[in-house]
Amino acid sequence: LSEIWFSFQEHKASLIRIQREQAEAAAAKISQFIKEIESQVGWTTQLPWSAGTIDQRRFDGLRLLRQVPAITELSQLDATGREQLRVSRLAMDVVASKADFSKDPKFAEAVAHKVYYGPVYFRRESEPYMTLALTGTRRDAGVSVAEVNLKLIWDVISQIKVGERGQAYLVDAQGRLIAHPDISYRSFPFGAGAGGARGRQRQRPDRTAPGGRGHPGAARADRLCPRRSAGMACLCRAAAR
Amino acid sequence: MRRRDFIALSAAAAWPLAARAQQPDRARRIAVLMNNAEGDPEGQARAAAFRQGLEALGWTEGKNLRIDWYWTAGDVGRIRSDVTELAGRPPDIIVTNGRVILSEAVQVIRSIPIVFVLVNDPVGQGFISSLARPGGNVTGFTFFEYTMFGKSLELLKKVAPAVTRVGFIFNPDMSAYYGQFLPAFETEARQYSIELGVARVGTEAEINAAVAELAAASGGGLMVPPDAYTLVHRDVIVQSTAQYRIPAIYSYRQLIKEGGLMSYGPETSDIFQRSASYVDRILKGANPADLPAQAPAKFEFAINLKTATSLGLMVPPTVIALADEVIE
Repeated sequence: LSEIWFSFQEHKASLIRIQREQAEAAAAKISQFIKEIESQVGWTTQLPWSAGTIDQRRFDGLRLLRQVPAITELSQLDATGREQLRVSRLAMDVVASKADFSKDPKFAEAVAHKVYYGPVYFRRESEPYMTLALTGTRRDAGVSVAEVNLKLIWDVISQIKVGERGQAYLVDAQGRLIAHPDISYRSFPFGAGAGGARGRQRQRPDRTAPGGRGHPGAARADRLCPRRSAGMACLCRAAAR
Repeated sequence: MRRRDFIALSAAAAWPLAARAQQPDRARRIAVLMNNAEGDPEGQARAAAFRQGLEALGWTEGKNLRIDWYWTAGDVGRIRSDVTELAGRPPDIIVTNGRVILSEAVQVIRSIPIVFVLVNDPVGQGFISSLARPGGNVTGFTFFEYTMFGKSLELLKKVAPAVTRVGFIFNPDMSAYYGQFLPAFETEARQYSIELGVARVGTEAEINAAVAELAAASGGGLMVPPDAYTLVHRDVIVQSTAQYRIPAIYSYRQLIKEGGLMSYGPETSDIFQRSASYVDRILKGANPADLPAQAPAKFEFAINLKTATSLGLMVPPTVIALADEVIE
């Protein structure tokens, strides 16, 4: 994720500065988490496709899973968008399925913009995931597609304390809640018309972001996080009471 | 009779959570029913992770929280009597480890919140109505997904390429539900030219006989999925596979420390630690019906090279490089 924005709603003026520092620290942690994943996936996009490279790619893919716990599955698409390899923590490796993803945004968008962040989806109804796809520098390197378990971001979020009783949470580019210290908030299939999720989204902080000198407010975060730039916003709010 | 009476009583009672949440300053009481025997280091590691998770959330055993530990050692008779006892003097929450304990508990306990830990496929087995919305008094933390057994076979084949016949060993009284997935496992195994057979065991003699049978012809290997019986009797399996020189893959990392060849599966301590968050939430008034059942987030592959060497296996460096723990 190139940028992480945050905002606050403060209720005690004296806490603003502290909260801002905490929010900055939170945003930095999350940004670092995502950047780390991105750079690790980047290593898998260096090789050109040829028959001789499949074993090396398979090893690289498995080693990536070993190094980055948040990646549950990695698939590699060749320059024409066909799947040549899929390695997963949850299933056997699949070599040369040749499934065609050339029209899929995870291939098309990644080729057009170097990187693609998919919308949050829920694996087996309850586990929040996001697709991250990257192209290599070489045209023939194809696209690496990682399925990222956002629960491990949630672990980061849940450790963030804002003020005495405040909390941080994460929304994606569409304003959908990804991670919140209250885990049951995750259970809503956001964007699927769940009334509860919408109701809770209304509880997001004021968008005026007082005291946010130099810090974009939530409104800007929403506006400035178009999908292809993969915006996620870390919103921190102080306790209302 | 007593059970039925209790069910009738609890059905009549209103959901007690809200009321409980409002009682201040009372030391809360939870009961934890473990699959393991008390001295089992795997069980102790799970308990320690659970306590650590609770501590981080402000719950200290013996201070503001009383934890009654039940070490059932996978004994169904004991599980039943423990569950009956708990129904008679219900704690605030019951934490259950594994399928067998959960299955006994849900038959008797209908109004006390139950948090399960390390249960495969809780929806398919009918314990909850969905992962996102469990719906009743039960929620928790899942363990293996069935496709992971294919992954285990793949790892076994990498370490022991000569394996062509694998025994899938479990106790049908504990894990009968594996039966319905066997055709799928067999199909997956064939991708690696492995014939998958089933070894149903309920005694130590049967374990030894099953391993001996795998050793009767070349290419034998063993896969030990999570099962309360084989967990408790794992020393017999480890000894038997050493004696008959059978490469085996287990589901728990602890087994590798005890001489097992290799393991693949979700990290059990991490899951226990996470489960503390639901105990905390429910003690503070959350309804288990609303708490999504969670899947594992961390997985581990471990290998014991000493055991590999004694089995005459040369483990490729590319496999060692993928292991989270290597015992030399």
